[in-house]
Amino acid sequence: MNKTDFKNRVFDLSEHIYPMVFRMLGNHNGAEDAIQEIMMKLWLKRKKIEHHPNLKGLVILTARNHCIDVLRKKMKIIPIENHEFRDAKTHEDSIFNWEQLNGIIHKILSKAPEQQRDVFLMRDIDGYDFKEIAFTLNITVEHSRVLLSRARKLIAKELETTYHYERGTY
Amino acid sequence: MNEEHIKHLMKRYNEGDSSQKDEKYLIENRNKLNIKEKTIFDFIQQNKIVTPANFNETQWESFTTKQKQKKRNRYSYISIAASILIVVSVFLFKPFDQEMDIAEKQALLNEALLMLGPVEEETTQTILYEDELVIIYTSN
Repeated sequence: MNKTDFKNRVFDLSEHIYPMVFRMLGNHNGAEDAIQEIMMKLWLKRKKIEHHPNLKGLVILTARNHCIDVLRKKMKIIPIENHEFRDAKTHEDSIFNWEQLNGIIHKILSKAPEQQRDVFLMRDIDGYDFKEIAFTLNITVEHSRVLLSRARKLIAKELETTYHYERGTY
Repeated sequence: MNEEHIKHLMKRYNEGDSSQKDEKYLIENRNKLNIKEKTIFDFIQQNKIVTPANFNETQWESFTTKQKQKKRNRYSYISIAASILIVVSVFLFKPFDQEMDIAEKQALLNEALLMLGPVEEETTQTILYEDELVIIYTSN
């Protein structure tokens, strides 16, 4: 794989992995640095990965594993409500203000089984398709659909409970 | 009709069967959903991360610069390693450390003298004639 092939087939997926890397690391600069490192790793392995049957999936998997390594080294998990892009304004037509909403859903997600949480975040926040999610998490597409359904139902159920609690109607 | 369609999409969404197009439609039309469902899509919309414009191009520039830097560094490391190797080789193999001590020199000299055979006794010379230009000797 020459430099042009690498750019077209691998490097141009940077835009595709950016949302996930940003979400996991919690800030833009960290995400940029991480993507540079991920791409350097892939560049060094370019001969090995050239004929990989799912290059897109491999790039996402490499990015995710890199972020997990970075977080392990830092020994911290970025709480979802701490992302710098977060806007804490109150929405009049919402049940909760943003801070409350993020806090509540983050709490629900933190209690959810790990795979359900990962599938939900990768699908609904990062915007990956089921094939990419399944490859990255080493599960089948069908299983990823089941996990996503469970996660969505769990969030809906917990939100309803919280809503009733907030309104004193439990 | 529209309400029915949204209801149908929400059912698919909850079953994990919705497509990305369906989900986009639900986010865009979240004001038509009930308050609980709308809250979920508000959360999703709020947390979606938008990739900066021209991200690939700016990252590629930075990547190629780093690559060149790494290449330069690699050459520097190779040069340093080669230099160290030469210095270590010099110390290990001592190519210039072949100077003989006095005993060795003496032994070598003696060997050379033996090869020449016995040295003839020094002859005595007598001056027969001498002027400013010429000296004539006699020897026995």
